[in-house]
Amino acid sequence: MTTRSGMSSHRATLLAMLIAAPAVINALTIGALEGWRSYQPDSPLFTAPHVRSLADAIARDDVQQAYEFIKGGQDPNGLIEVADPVLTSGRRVSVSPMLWAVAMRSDRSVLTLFGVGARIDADAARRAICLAERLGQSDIARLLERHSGHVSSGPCQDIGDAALLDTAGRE
Amino acid sequence: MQPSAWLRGIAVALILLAAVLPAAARALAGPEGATIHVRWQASVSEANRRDIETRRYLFDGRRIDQDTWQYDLAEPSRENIHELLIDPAVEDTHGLDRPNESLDPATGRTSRRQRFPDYGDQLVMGADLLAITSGALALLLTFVGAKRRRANSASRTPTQLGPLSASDRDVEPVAPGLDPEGRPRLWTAAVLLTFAPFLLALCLTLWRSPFPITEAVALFEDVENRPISHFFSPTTAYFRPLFHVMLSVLWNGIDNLDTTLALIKLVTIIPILLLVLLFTYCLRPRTALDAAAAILALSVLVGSPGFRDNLEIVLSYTIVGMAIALIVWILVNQERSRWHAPLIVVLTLVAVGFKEQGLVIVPVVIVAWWTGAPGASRGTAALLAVIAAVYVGLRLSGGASWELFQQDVGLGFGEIDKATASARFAAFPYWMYAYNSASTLGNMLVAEPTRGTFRIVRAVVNGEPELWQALHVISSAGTTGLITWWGVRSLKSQARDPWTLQSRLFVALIAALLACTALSFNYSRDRLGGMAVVFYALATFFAVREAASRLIAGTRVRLVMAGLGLAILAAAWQTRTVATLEYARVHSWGNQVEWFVRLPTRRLDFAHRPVYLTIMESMIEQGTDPSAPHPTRYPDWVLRTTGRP
Repeated sequence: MTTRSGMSSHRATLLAMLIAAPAVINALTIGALEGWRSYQPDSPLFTAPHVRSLADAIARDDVQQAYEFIKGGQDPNGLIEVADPVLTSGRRVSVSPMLWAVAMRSDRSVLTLFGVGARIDADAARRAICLAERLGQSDIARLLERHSGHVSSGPCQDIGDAALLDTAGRE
Repeated sequence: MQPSAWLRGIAVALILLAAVLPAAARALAGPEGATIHVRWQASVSEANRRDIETRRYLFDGRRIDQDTWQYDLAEPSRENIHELLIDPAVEDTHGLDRPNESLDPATGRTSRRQRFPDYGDQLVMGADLLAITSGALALLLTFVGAKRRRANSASRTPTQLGPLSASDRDVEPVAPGLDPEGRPRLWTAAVLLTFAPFLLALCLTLWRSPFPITEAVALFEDVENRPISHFFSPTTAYFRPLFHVMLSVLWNGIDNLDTTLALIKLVTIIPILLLVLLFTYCLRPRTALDAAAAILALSVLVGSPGFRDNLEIVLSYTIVGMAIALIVWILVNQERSRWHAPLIVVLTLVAVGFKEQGLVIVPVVIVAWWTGAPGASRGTAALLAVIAAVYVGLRLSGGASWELFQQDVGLGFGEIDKATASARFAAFPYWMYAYNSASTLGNMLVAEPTRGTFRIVRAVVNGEPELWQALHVISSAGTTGLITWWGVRSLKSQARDPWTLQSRLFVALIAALLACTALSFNYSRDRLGGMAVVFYALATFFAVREAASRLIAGTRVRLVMAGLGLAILAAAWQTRTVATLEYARVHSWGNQVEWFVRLPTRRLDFAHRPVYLTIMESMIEQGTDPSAPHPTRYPDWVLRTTGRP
């Protein structure tokens, strides 16, 4: 026969298990996850997919990897090869990282590039600003004006759907 | 072995562990790597290059130009560098000090990958954190040992620290069927073990988080430019003199930037460790049911918005106050000694000096004295009341320079910027002040609104409610309901008997809630409820334990139904602890993105502040360190459950 105190003890254990079970499961999950994070820090669960080039990093708005490329020695003012089905009609063209960041509508990449020493002259700034305006990115155009020190003057030349191709063609 | 000798032995072992672990981990993991460049001879074949890369521990090769590659040199020993420099395939290098065959001091350092390529750094960080934890535990044990010795020498029955005093056990026997003596060491260890993964992960995340550009750089500029006396002027809107003194001492007193930044991080991390450790010690669960209630209470502590919103590195004002509030609560519930009163006063002054939310401790101590807490004297309560009155008077006397609203305020479903709010409510701001206060109270009790904005209600109205929102409201409202039920019961029993610890705690909780409410009149933020969270979580322990005790004696159906209800409540709070951890990671990532994105604008905006710029430039390396914690890329269903921080 089960005594009253035995039954109470059984009930107390049951209640304790019900209340503590979520915490125990959580502890095991966090422990396993952190262990996995230490063992495989590059797992897709913990990091963004690795990109192969600065152009890819800018296209993905991945400012950390863009920064890593430049910190690793890539010239933020050097030309990079890019391609886009619309902006370059699928053709591979060489453009500056800054122009590519504008074309990708990535204001964060524009700022990152300025932060690591990208410089653009008045002509390049005008073309980048025109491209930003053509893409409806007035905020990026203002960023370019402020950080390049060049205010866009004069009308922009006609830029078609292959906006980057049209702009890069004049680089 | 005597218990005090046993404690002393453990404390010594922990101190030894704290001293040895960091060095041992570094020796085991090997040195940090370094970023170097190698220009290969044009004639070197790819196979030859790859062979040398393997032999010389040149990892993560990245082509910079035709012949130049960047590497992570994982083995920066003199011997390895010598071999690399004399290799005929190598035309030139960058990042190495050729004459000394060592690393150039200016070279950027990388992870420890020599022996454990994937987790060398984590090994060292884990050891450092364990050493800090061991040190904190050793301090705690020393404190406990000293207390026991004092109690023994006075030939009195040893009293327990904090809420579960021996007298309370007598007044409120444990649940029927439970062992009245219990095994406090076992169940305390079980609680700590259950919480260890969360606690370690959180502390490691904070330890590795970069400082933000916003807030941090300006704070460091302030303490570099201004004398300490400046921070004691009560006319400023944000009066945190001791916080600034701490920052000034660390910033101006230590030459090494890395050491300074590490110590500033510890000012946030150590109070978190203390909070969890002291909270657990304070409850000292004796049975499995006690332990389960303690785990749920700890989840409430760390899952509450008032805790989560105070985890920002460098902005350690309130987390320090929260730890102090808990220590003061433990002290006022202990048998009084000569050093109790001065210690309580000093601790309260420190908390207030870090942020005026520390004032919450004052009504708590007054309540403790009023309800006959053994460690709270009339003199202490009176002195703190006077200090609080003087402080408030001093602050209000400098109030002419304050803005009507110091920050943007939430209202209804939206938020109003402070300028608009000042213009709109200039004639009679008091309704808005009352709204802000009520918002903070609502956030603490039912998780809505947040920052004065009814986001969850808005999501429901717009037909876009998410699971995490329901979990937040259910868990907070459920816990508040449980606490209210328990509190009213404890007050009813108080009408017949003397004040018990439980009825005292309930009144202290109300006092802390009201004080937090009053102090957030100007704007409502989650973090402003932080001081009351400590008492809310303590109350949760007693409320859950009381509910469980009644369920055990009740019918089977009631036991199962209410037991499942408690399990759902516990599960909901667990989702919030996961969210707290993820919040810290998201914050770390946000801080890092600031360093990538905001640098050029800051250079322009702060061109007239050379000290600011110098500090900012010196902190870029820590801000852009690729090993900084990133948010976990959880599947969408997890984010829908925990929320998107």
